[in-house]
Amino acid sequence: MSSLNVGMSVAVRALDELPAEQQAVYRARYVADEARELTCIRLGIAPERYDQLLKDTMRSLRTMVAASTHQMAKA
Amino acid sequence: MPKIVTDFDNDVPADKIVTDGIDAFSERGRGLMFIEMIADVAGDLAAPESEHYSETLAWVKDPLNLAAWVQIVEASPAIVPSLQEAFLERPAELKVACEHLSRSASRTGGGLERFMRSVGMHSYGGSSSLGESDAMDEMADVYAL
Repeated sequence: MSSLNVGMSVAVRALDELPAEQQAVYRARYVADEARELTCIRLGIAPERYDQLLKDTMRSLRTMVAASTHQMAKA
Repeated sequence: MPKIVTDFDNDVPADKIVTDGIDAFSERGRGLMFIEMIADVAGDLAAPESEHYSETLAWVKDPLNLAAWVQIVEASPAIVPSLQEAFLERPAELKVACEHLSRSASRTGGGLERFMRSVGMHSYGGSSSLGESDAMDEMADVYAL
């Protein structure tokens, strides 16, 4: 695969580069379509922790997008 | 919106090359991720006293960032129905977030405009389905929750 757009690469890379807890929530929510309550039970975390991990994930993804696009601009 | 396409063999370091496909993500998941990203950004922008306000404002002022995110959900032709479904799940939050982003970052390469039209919001501005006062009312409702 020689040509991918940056947005796709960011989403895919996130699966491997996020911290473990964020990755687990990210994968459950956006890949497996698992309900929040079910994920909380499966991972043994409180709903508040789930919400915080999701927010942290959004911020991590924003940083990844910015890093990728800026890297491209320099290329 | 110009596509952000690069030749990964020439422009991107080896450790950034992605060999797995976007197909790993569910269609609904991609729509939901985009909606939640916009809501998260709008939430930060709605709170100037927030510690993340400045960095968020800088992020949305770079049209490449939103354009890149829009491309995550544009990667499949099946995404529009999924976005519409997700939109129906969280209509008020998404409308407010899009309106807020449109005011805060006027240059998104057309991607956000296309997205808004695809979920039945028409375009932002004079022909928008949301007037300024409606948007502000809804924003107050959402952020009061």
